[in-house]
Amino acid sequence: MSPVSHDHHPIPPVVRFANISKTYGKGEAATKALSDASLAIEPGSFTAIIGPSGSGKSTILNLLGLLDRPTAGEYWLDGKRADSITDDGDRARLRRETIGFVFQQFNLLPKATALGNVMMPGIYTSLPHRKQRATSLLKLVGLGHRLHHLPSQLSGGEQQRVAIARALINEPKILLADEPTGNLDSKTGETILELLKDLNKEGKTLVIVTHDAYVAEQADTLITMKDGEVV
Amino acid sequence: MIFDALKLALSSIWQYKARAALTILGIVIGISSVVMFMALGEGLRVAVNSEISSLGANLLAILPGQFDPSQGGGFSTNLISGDILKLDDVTDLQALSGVQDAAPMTIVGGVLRRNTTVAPQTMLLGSTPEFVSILTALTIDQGRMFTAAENTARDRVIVLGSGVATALFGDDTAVGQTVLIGKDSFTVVGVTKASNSTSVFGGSDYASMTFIPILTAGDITGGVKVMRILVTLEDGVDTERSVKTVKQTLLVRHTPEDFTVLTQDDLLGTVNKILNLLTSAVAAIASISLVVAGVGIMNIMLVSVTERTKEIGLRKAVGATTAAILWQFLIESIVLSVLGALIAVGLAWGAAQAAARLSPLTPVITSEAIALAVGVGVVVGLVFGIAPAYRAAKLDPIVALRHD
Repeated sequence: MSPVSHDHHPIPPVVRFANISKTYGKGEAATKALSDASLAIEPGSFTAIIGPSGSGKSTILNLLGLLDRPTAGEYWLDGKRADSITDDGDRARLRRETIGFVFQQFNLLPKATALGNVMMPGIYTSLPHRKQRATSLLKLVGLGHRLHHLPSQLSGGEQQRVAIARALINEPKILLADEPTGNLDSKTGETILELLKDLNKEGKTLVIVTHDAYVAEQADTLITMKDGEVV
Repeated sequence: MIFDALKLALSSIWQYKARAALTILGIVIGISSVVMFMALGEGLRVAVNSEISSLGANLLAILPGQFDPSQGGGFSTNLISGDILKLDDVTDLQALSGVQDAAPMTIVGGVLRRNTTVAPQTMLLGSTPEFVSILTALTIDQGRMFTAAENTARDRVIVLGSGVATALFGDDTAVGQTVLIGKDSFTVVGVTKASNSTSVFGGSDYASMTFIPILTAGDITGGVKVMRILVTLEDGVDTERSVKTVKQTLLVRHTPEDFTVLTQDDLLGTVNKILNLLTSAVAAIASISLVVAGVGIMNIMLVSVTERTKEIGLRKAVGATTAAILWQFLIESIVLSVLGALIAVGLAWGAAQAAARLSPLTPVITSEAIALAVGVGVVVGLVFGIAPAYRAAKLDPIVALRHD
């Protein structure tokens, strides 16, 4: 049986950093990218992580997304202690079941169609009915008429929509977006942001890393970074 | 998962088809040349074996001089000597129980002609009437074989090979006509017909074999020389025991032993040994090209990994394990290489068909050769795919995603 919780939150946070530090290199050459960061992200929230470049934003993003491991501290993801998982397979499994990435550069496979790109992460979870699911996700992001187009045949905004559909295919707990509007003109950026906000309203936890003040304004929680510290 | 990996490999090969084609070109050339050489060797073996078998079952050949066929040769210079074997040996062998027929054979030098028309490529042999019944591949088509009486009387009679008869007489009847060997004129008494006239040995085929009585041959060449004795055994006789009896009989006149008894098995064994050696030597040389092809695959795969660094980073970000990436690239290189092997087998098959149509030799692609080709494909893909796949799998996703 689970012990009686003294936590004030009725629902535990989906992400919790407890005194996380990240140091690159060793000895004299060691540089601290993140020091003693503690934060919590509530399920269903929209959190923006902001700060100038070099402030530790990317480090937080990599740690959050399980692409990197902290040097010190505890990382709890979806109720599991994630920083102590050393096995590559276990980390990959937790990553694909929990996190959906959206990148500034879209990062679509150039030779695969929109449908193929969205289906791709499903290979690693042996997702059943991949094609149907990918099709309905593309319809959801407004690309039902672009299923068989290559990325080169799509506009920047459309490419980012494909990337968002791809991030959703394995039903992640968290949508982790790294400057998702950074490569788009402001008007297109706005529609992408609206799409992400819509997904958030339907219950998806949304974390956006950005230095765009306009994007940050829309979030319900702000985490501001400066010189490797959460301020 | 394996099915997905295979599909992934095929789709990424399809996406980069021009490069894939270049990559497998080396494999195709390497494996198809190995398969083709093996097919030629096998075809030659089959042809030679059927040729030897067509000489008739239960055939023994007694040769002057000694060599051990199981050692693959070591031919002595006595092999064409006419002074070791004697006609008396033939008589002795004919008297043995279990022996059906025995006939001596000598090769007669000299040009065969009719007036001024010379018969090309004639193999002029001196023998006894039994010779034709010993060589089951030969029958008398027109006229008759010369008789024992004609041999004893040293009559100038001759039996022509079908090719020789056609060369000298065209469509005219040859029997009853006169031909010349040097200055000696001979009366044609018969023409033979070969039951299988195609021979991979070209010049020595049955259509060119022409016979005169061996005693007559002794007359015109200055002494009877027996270069071979051919013996057929009765059906159902134990070959091994008969060979022993034949040897014992000959040893009475030939001690120390100065002859060799060859059975068909000996002949087949020797020929197969030489052909197998030849085939594997040539195939081994051709397989060096496989190493070159493998290095080609490795290079292209390394280029591919570098080009697809960002893709690898992305795949890891969406949850691919290191092992999944390793397998993806390994399976891709194996699929490429096996694809090359299959194309190579197809090419070799086509070449074999063409060779069969254009030459007397029919190359034979055995199922072992196909299995070997595909096996080599898998091994080459695996061995030369490991390094690129390992490099891909070890990429740090953060660095890979930032790659341009």
